[in-house]
Amino acid sequence: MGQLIVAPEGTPAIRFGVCQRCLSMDTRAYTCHHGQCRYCRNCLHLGRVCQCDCLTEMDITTPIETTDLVMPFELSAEQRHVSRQLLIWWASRTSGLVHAVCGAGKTEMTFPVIARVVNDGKRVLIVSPRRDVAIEWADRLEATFSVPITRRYGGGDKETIGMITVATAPLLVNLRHVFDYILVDESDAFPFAFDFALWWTLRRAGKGLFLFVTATPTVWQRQFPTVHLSRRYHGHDLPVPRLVRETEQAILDFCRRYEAAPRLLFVPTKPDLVRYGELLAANGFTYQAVSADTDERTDVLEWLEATNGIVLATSIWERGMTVTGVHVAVLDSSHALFSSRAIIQMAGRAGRKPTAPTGDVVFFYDERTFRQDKAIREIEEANRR
Amino acid sequence: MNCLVCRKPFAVPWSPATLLKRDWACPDCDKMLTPLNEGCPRCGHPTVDGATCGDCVRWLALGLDLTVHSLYAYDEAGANWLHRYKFGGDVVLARQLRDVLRATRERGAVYVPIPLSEERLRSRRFNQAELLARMIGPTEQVLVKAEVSSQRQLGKEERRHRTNPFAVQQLPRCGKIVLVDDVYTTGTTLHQAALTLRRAGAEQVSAVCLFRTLNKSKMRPI
Repeated sequence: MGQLIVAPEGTPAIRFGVCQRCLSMDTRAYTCHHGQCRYCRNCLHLGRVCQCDCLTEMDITTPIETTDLVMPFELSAEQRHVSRQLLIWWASRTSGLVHAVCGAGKTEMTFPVIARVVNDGKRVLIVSPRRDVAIEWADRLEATFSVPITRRYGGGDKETIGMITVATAPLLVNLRHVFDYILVDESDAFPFAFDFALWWTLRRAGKGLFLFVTATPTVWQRQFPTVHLSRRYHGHDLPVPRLVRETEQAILDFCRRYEAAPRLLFVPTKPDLVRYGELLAANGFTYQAVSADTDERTDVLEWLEATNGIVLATSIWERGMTVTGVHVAVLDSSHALFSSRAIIQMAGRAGRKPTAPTGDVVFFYDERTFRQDKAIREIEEANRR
Repeated sequence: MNCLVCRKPFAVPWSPATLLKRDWACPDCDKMLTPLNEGCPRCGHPTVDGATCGDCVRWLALGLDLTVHSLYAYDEAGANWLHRYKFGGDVVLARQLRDVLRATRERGAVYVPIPLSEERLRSRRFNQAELLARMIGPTEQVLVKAEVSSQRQLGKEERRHRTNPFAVQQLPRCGKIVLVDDVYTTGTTLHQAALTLRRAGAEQVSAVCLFRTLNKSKMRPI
């Protein structure tokens, strides 16, 4: 029940070469002051644990508070249906999946249930795969709720646990059985989908009650009771992607056609940023490139909105960001890294604001793949429902 | 293979050594530290055409002759490296410098690490110099150290006029003793240890040091 700390008594910190705090196998042998020992290289940032250290759980002592909820806007009828279902699930302590299309207002739909959980005296955790998304969550929650929001991501406050915590998964490793309700945002995204140890840290941090929120659930997540929402909150259809054969001319035509609007071009890998960037620069376009190495991603976002420029992005921007009136192109969409879920999310960047509810989405292809077809089919299906 | 230092994946060129060596550092991380090649013959500090540096002249004037083999310059990258190794406790990092350290090995020498005080050793869990010494060659714990305050905050003059905290436990049988330390800033530690050993009857004493602080640099002393 609480935070794992290094203490003179307790369970050994490393057992069978597995770090009991972060569950990594990257423990290394070395010579301690009393002989052979191991230490964990994976969680050095939390303070080193050695085989000769012990871990104990320290109770969370922050007081339990109640909160007021000021909704930023009135929920639509469909959104209210979803949030009512979430309240029912909370009452019966059921895990569930919210399958809502990109731009359906998933964040706002979950506010009533978060308020209910907090007022029941339970702790809520909101996990998101990326720091940018976590920051946005925390800002929106701060505007809505009266209790302080704990920000537990890189650069945030990492010590205390309040009633509502916004976190990225790697910073939860030293928590055990703390949160009564875990909201997993974009639950199919990169760190959760591939890193099995992160699932274990997440399960360990909570008490077994999850809410998965995503536009593109995995097969595993579909086993949970699901509530669907296939309409954006402004009521317009999702833009259906067009398939265009990729030639240099076609890419330049796309950029020229929407001269007066921001354009977002997704590329599969970082070397592609350079390759396509040279093509754009040779034809007189100014652009900015965004990848995981870019430090000021929010600055680039502001630049894109302010100057109607062109941004080349890797899949780092595939989720959680909103640009008004953007037109999206997925370059080399037949690349093996672009799963159907990824390109659905990229297509979902267009037309998210009620002021600009449509946008052009183009998949440039060298060859047609089932992934493209599946993405288009699923978007059309959501529009029909 | 993941890089030992930055932990990012990179390709290791295949050679028979690929099978034997576990810890590889990527070329970028290998180039981070600045090796000291030509310089003062007694401490490795870069000087004009290999003249003896001012610090060493002062030590010689005191009658203390100790040749210190310094391997790397203690610049920003070096300080970061050492901070990770010593205070962060990421001990495996020393494997990166294994080949360089091993190249300094001499025949028939015993490597004596500068000891930590009992209390410091318990809180840090390891002796950073001892782990380096083990990487070079046969190690023997010859010296013991009394509890003194940390040198990190002290200035140059204060450091030089400390009382000698070292004492000899038992002198090894062989004639050649090489002291091992992590940083050479003023040289007080190494010279005091060498003096103690000489007084106890050691014949040949020299030293190996991982980092040499460059004078007039704005680095914080460690």
